[in-house]
Amino acid sequence: MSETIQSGSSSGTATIERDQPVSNLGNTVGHTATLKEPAIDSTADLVHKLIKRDEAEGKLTMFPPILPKNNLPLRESVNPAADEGSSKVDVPQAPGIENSTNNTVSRVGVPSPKKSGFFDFLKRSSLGLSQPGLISNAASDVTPTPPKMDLSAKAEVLRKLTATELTRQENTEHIIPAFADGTLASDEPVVGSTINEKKENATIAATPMPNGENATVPIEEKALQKVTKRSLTESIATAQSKELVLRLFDDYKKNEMLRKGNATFQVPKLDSIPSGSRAGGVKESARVGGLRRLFSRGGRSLLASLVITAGLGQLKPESSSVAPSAISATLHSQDTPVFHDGLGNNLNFPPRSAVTAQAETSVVTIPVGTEHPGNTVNIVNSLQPSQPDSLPLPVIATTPDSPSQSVTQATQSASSETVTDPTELNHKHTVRGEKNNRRGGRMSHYVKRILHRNSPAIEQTPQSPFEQFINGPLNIPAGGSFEGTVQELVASIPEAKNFEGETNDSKADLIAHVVNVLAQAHNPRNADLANIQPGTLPKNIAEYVGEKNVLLLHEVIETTNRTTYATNVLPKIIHIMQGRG
Amino acid sequence: MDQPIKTSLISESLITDFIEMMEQKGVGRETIQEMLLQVVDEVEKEVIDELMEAMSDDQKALLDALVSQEASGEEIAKQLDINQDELEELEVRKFEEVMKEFSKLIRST
Repeated sequence: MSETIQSGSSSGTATIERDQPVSNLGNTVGHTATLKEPAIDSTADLVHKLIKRDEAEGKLTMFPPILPKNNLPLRESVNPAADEGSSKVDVPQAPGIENSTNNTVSRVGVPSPKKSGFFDFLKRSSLGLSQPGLISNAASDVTPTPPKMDLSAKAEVLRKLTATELTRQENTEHIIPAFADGTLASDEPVVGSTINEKKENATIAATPMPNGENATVPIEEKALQKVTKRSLTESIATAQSKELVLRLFDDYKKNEMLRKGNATFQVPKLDSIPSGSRAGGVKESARVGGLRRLFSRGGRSLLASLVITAGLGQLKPESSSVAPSAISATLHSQDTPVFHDGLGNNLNFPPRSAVTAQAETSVVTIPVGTEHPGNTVNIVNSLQPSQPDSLPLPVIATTPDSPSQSVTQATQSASSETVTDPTELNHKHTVRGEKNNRRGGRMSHYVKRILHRNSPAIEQTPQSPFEQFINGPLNIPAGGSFEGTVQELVASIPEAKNFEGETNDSKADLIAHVVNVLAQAHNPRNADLANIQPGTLPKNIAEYVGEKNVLLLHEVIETTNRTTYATNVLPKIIHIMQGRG
Repeated sequence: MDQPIKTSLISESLITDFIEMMEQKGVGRETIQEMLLQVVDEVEKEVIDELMEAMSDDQKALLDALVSQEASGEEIAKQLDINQDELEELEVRKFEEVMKEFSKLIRST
């Protein structure tokens, strides 16, 4: 058995193994301390080494830097068996371990002395994968959470890197990776070529064809259309540097302009693309996609479900508008289902037996007759209403893709997007279920909400310009710019336009708006928002945050491409908007 | 190992408090929900990033194979011997941490 105790210095964690004598461990006699890892460099040294290493390899240093495994900061944990105290002991140097001259181990309960910020963060991080059991062989393979560097320090490093990288890339061209058929190899931004801006015979460099030959392939407009904003967005999601993101976006805009003209793809040889410039690529993105499935067990992730159900569960009946054409239905396992179209008209529905059978699986989709094409009945399945501990399970069913789609098909399709396991839901959300029951039942609200979302009539419900702006996608017209589009939208919003000195509600709206816009801008997957540059913030936003904070705001934008906005950016933005920087 | 988290209770409390607070500030529910879902998405992404960092090369190779076979989340978890419950709890913890800070800041505006 081994136990780990807190290190007394930055030189590492010591592991105490039972039943091996160490004379000076006080009442922990019977333990041997062994340094498991060598000492690590200071933060500055390590960052410097990483930068030098990457420069030598001709690639960007990713920030936060991913440490080589042999320099991993050591995990620390508490040894529950050790006595509290303040004594320090010298630990015998482990065989084969160098740099272990400072092998002082402080006992549990003694605060560690100074730790440099870089690793201090890691050691203080309580949310990393140091939890045992997350991965079976985590003990040997776990790499700690990438450090979240101090923003200002990070910005400084990034500035230096940017200057270096810009110099290096002066003569380096960049491509939108795409295959010759026009399909964007979306996840693999590659430095190596660029769009040829010749008007009549533009070329777009592409990733190698399987045969690895250079070729100029005629491309039809239809194929070129496949180079979509969505694909570009995915490409940018894996880009390593801001410059790369901006180049991708620039290329995308050029590509947009090329759509109406003739274009060819020039296919470079595989070996013409420097391997070091790849940024994870398709494989990495596919892995992420695969791992995302871990969070959804047959439907949405637990958290997403919580967000939706918690939000919908609070819907006030009077606030839920249902269009006349919307269809709602309620099905209780012991009741006869009744469907109506919101106007008091009963609708046809499948035989009771079919509904019941599917109700037991908690997902039921019943296509309405042809007089209501596209509408879908969403059924609430209050399973076992007589049992107080069971959670009435909301059932979500989506509109069939086509009128010809069968009930089964629609159901199966819907089931992949729905929390479907009543047992699991009961197990995990009993409290919530009871809470919602006390509210008088969220089921009807749930149905209305889904209907609200599905109903074309609802979609036509007038929204304020502000609501349209913040709820709808930000569609940048071909050839348009992000800032121009945003400015137009902001100008169309009375609340925002007249924000100065306006009411708190307007202020709150604008805050939400700014957060929303900037949050999108900070999501590297939002390609069309990635070109925010200093001086191009929408005027109202700039005015609101104040001139003194604009640069800081931009710094946040520029330095958080690889930072989770939710943990770092949004609070920062709010601080900025509060004028506290 | 820490005690199991009362996932639904804590998270829902945070979510509902946040929704109520934002509504009081005049923000539409759909907007609030979108913001929350974005937070969820980013938290999930962060956990995935950590997971990727923690995976060995062999595990990554196995993951690649599973992805190419369009394996389900359950199958991926099984093959990689990943405890989905713990992963979920990690996600929830992160989410709660974010939401607490976020709510605190929003409340002060």
